[in-house]
Amino acid sequence: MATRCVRESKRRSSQAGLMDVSKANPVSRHNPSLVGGDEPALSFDDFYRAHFRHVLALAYALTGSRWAAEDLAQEAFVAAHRNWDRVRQYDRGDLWIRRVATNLAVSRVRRRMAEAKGLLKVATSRPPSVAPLDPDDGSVWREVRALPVRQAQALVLRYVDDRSVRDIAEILGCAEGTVKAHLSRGRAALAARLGLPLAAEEYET
Amino acid sequence: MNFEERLARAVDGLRRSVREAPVAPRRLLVLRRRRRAGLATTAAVAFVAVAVVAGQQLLDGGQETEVATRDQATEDTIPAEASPSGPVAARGEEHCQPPDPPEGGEANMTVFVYFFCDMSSFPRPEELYALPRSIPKTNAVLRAALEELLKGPTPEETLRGFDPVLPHGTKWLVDATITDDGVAIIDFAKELADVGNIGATSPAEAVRLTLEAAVRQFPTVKDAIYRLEGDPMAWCELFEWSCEGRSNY
Repeated sequence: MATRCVRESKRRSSQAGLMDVSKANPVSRHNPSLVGGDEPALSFDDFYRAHFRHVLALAYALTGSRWAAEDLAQEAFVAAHRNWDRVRQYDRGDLWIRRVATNLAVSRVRRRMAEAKGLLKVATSRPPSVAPLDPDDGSVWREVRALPVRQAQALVLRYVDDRSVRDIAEILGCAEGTVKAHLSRGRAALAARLGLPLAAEEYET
Repeated sequence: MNFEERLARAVDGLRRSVREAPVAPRRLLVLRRRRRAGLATTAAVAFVAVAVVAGQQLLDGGQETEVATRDQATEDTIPAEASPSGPVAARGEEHCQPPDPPEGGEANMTVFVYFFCDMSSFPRPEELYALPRSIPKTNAVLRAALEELLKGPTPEETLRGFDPVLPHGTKWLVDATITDDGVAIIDFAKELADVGNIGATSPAEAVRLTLEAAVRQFPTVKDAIYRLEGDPMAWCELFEWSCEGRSNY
């Protein structure tokens, strides 16, 4: 399924005359939002302030670790800062940073590195900046992380970050129909895991 | 309580947990400068390295990668000398600088492994570093080089910021040979497909770049075929590499 997402993204990018999303800007340039042509250039500080906590929440939901979430969110923004000349040109830098963060959060190697750094902070008595979750809420997110990766990513982007299906499709590199399928299956599987009744949902793009 | 209400409550809880997180871009930039300059304390860095190595071994079951015994490479496929093709690390700072090369005796030969240092989310080939490894002389030089690659950076290299290619502890490599006509055939274990999301994210590109660099270091290699348990199409499906003409291998 994950492979299909990228394939669809490449096909759509090709049709739209965009660059290969795996090598360059992952986000369409067709939706002016964050950076407009005649608008003042966005500063990195503004970008960071606007999105850091959102990205932090995404990372926390997907990793389950306060330390790892903080480190991964910082790493995503370090990547943005390193490539800021390029990133600030993107029409949807907000989607770019979320793609980086969600990719980092599901990379086992990166997650372990972040957790190791988290242990370092424990050893040096540096508390994480993220407050601990209520155990009941934590159990919900644990069940979300037990879902297939794409379903978990789609659910977190949808419910934690209030992203539209179209935005999620851009972030994950999937077709919108694929995102809807991930959301539908993910919701059904999560409801079953939690033992709760599930109502039908319509997805607006 | 139904599903929607339970999920909404969990979302509220998550948002509350990050509400007080400081948003200080300057602190991030300081962190980055410190990281770049390698100014973290020795104790801190050593702790990270130990935690990473111990954590990876613990989580992966602590099994070491098996050492190759022999493959079908013939004498004339052995390159006279491997040649590094990555950038040379900047001198003057320890971070991202390869440690001193290992000492090799007459019974040893040198191959290169390739790693990223502070790997970006969209890795590029010019960001690869070539690091030497001294290994016992062998006919199966390609396999030996790839196994060194898959062992990941040494603890000292980890301290200096070099990133592993794949999670340590699984025997990813099944076989790697160079045919008489210069085609490298590299066979990976099917468990590679289970590595989370590997085919859809930038780590997949990092894996591709490091493998290609390691394989192409040998002048005798003119082409490379990657397979998953003997199936080149499965590999192509996983990584979305070109599959043309690969079904015959």
